[in-house]
Amino acid sequence: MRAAICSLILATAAFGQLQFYSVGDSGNVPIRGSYTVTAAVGDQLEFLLRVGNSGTSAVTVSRVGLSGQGFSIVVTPTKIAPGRTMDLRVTYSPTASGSYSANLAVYDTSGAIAASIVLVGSAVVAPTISISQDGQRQDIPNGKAIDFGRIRRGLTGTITVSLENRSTTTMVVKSMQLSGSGAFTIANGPTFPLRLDPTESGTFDLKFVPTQASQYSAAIVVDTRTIPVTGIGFDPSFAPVSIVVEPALVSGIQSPISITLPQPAPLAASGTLTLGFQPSATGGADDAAVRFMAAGGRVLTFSFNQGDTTAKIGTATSAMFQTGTTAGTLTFFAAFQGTTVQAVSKVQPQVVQIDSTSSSRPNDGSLRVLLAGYDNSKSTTQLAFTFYDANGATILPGRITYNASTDFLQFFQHSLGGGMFSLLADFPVSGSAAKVGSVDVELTNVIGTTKLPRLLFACVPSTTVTCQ
Amino acid sequence: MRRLLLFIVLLPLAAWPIDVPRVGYARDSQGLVRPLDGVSGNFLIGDPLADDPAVAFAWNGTLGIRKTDASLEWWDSAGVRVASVDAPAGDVVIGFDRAGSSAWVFSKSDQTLSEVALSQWRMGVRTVPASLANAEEEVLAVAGGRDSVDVAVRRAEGIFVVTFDRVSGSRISEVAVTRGASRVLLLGDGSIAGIDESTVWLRRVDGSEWSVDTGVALADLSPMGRDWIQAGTFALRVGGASEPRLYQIPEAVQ
Repeated sequence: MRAAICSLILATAAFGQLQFYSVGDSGNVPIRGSYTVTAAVGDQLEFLLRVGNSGTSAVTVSRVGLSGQGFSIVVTPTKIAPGRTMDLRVTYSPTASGSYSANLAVYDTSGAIAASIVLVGSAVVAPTISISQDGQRQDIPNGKAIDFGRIRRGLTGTITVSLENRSTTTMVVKSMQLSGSGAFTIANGPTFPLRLDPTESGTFDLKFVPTQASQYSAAIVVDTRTIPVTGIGFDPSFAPVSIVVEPALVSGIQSPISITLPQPAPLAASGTLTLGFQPSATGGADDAAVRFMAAGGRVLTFSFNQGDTTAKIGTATSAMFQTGTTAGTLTFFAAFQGTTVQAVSKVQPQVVQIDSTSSSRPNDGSLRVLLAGYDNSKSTTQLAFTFYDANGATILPGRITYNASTDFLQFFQHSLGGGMFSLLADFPVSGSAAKVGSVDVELTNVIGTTKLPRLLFACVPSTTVTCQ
Repeated sequence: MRRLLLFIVLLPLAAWPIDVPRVGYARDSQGLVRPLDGVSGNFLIGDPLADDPAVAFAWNGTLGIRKTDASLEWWDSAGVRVASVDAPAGDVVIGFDRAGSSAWVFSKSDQTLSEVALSQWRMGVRTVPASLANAEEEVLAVAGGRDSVDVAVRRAEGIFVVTFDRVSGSRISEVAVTRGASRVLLLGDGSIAGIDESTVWLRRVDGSEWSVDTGVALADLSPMGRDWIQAGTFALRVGGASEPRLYQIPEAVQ
């Protein structure tokens, strides 16, 4: 034994009232006389001891004395109330193989020893374990863990671990094993048994690749020594997505929408884009044509690959949607990474829009006008037709008007097609329809009147009509 | 101002039907033919006309011809199948008579060209004795005229429109299209539409040309309504004085 130092034990009022305990998984265990620890040469072993007051009066610890070799302690004097304890963190640092001992005593305010034990340390020849990370080298004392900290899911953290012989004799490391989570692996390791002469070392790379956002743990066992390994996988937070869409739209168009991130996506992730529609008119019917072009109708999924700033929607970087033919508000909701953002596009009421027309003479006794278009205010009130002969002269009875409010209102109330309509207007003719050359059509709703370009009836030559 | 002794009598609007406008009929990715209602850029896709897929389909605004694995069918303007005849399995090229009342069907399996007409609610199929599609020719499109039939064929040196006598089937003339395409259509006004990979193009009678790159590969081209062509998943409006306009056809909601 390198040193065995005993102090005089002075009987005091507090003596017998205080008791040293070791601290383990099963709780506090009274220490009778001595406490033994083992560490590798060059390691630092920190362990916890506890001093308990089993008496009925408080004991003030004026100082803690530690005399001997290999052990050290830092403690702040305190008062221990009856039934309470005081913790002592002791460090054992053997610098050479062999045995160490020290006397650990606590003193009361009178300077007398209130309790004492003998610390016995044995030192074995074992490599000193150190790590190199980000250019920093650090010893891993016995009981300390190699901690990777937080590593983003899917990325690889690497720590170089060194087994170094800091003793003065040759040592042989028999084995090394990694157990625990498969997120940790060893690469570029030496072959065991590993012979290390003084100052020699063997190194390996300890890697950590978290596949989930969670805590990971493992252990490296080097001969009799176990080194805990810990790490945390995390998902980086995304910035909120932005919905790129025109804020003001018109009816009857197909328009693009895209989803973007302010920074490249840190990893692959997907979300859902939903389209909602609220007609301007209170209690107005939905418009089935307000939808994305894809089969989802009003719901799409979008996804970012790692590094993307614009989401993929299907195989494209944008999706098309229809604005329908009903005035109202289109609201887009992008649900992504637990957050939902929204964008609003307004469709204002317009005058009646006509998409296609045809004018014909089904027979010589009638004229036919076909109009297809939409009224996104669903408020068509009046139709007006003015017919002209081949020379452009107005044909009697002149401008023909009709109040169509009720007819259109009834149609729109039952239509799923928003404000779309086709109107087939037949006009019986008193006289020869072949003499009618053209017609002006006007449609009026609450916004205003739409005047169509003059529609021509194809000239049909006859005994009474000469085509120019 | 001279006034004609002509009066227009206005009928009550109750006699004027108001409905959702019908663009035509489109064939979806499963080959199902579905009504397409709406106006330019705002469509509603409907339920399929039939549960079985069509090998080929074309619609000219008033009549539709649907080819299945086993039959050739005539559909009216209301989307009702009014007649059908048995037909051998295989793809066909469908075109229409420019008068709009009959159709022309070229069978790729037996290399025959037939005029299809409806009479007394029965389909009449008359094969034209034209010598078509030899080993070096692929028939792409067909359209009927008053006295002749135009057939677009692809040869090693390019695409040509060959005109045949409607009755005898003898070749009258041929004109080079001088434009690449995987599919073409001969339209009623004499213009030609085609698809070339992801590009849709239209060549008018006056020789002017319009084209647009859709960005996606196009596999099919067929008439889908009056003034409308289906090019893959797109609807191309070709009628009227304005420039052609291309829109996406909405997918049927799953």
